Amino acid sequence: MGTDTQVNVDVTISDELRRLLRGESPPADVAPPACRTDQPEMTKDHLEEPPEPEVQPQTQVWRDIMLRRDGDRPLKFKGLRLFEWVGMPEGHRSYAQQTLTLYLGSDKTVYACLVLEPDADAPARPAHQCRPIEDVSAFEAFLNTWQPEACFEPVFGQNPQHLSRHMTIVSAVRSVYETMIAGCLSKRLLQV
Amino acid sequence: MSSMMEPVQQDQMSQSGVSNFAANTPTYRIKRPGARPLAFDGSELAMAMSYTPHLPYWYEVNLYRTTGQQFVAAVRLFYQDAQEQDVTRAWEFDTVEQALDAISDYDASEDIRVSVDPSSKSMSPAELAAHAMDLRSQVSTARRHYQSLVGEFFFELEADQ
Repeated sequence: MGTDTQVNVDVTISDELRRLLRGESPPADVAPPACRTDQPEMTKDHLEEPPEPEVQPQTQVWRDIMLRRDGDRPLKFKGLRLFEWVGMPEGHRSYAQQTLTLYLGSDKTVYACLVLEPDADAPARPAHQCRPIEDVSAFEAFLNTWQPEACFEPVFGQNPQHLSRHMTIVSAVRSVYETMIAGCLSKRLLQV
Repeated sequence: MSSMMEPVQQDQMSQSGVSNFAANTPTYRIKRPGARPLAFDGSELAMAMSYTPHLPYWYEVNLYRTTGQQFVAAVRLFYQDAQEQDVTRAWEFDTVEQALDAISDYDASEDIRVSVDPSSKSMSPAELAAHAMDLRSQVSTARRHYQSLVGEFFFELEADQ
């Protein structure tokens, strides 16, 4: 999960909807605006807003963090990033990047986040999972449910070369992840 | 990518520009399988799509507000292959939260097309088992694909809240 931004043209949210969700009324005598299509939005896998300088300038260390979750609304909390591990398959470095990030919430809750970012040429959708981690066994369970290879959809048709390439990538992505979790679990990061 | 969508959408939805209540409010007419088309005047509040060049299909979700202050959620499944039949589902709700929940709760396994007759006696148990495994894989893949889009949609939606 890097902090680089990229232009996202796949999602458009109108200002009218943002106002609605904030409980604000639309301006009177103004027809509802159409969905914005000409204004690309900036997107990240996570957002970390800097602390407000006006509030406790000496002691404020927590940031507003929002983590994307597949099939669900984002996870929001105040916290700090503790640890980040980024892995890419050897020989297919541009094909898929995996990131494991740990956060410490201001209430002392630990959050774990796993992200797979496939290359635009890959037959795959990105994957994002995150959850609070109560203990080491919960962390282990979280890691064991992650299936990065399953994000690569088998669309090779009748071409045996495509099948071969698909299997190679899937195997490489899995291998990177297993190397990562072996290191994480042996470090017992949550016991620090 | 939006330019790719336009000719496809014309099959699924018509937009006449005629308004009963306000100027510049288009009329939408969304075809639905097994149900009457959902027609309304309103505006599009949000859109997200999962188009990926090397995948044979993608989803698009849309959220509309009608001039009658209802909210319409639509989930569309498009195929790159012109021979395939695209599918649109749409529902009308009283509140925006209900419409957002409909987008979030949609089960993409409904879009899996079963090409095997399980009652067929021409298949061996091993063949049936293989088909069952394939079906389960398709369901899992479709759900994962759609959930990825839903996560992206809500992340963008709440980014400025």
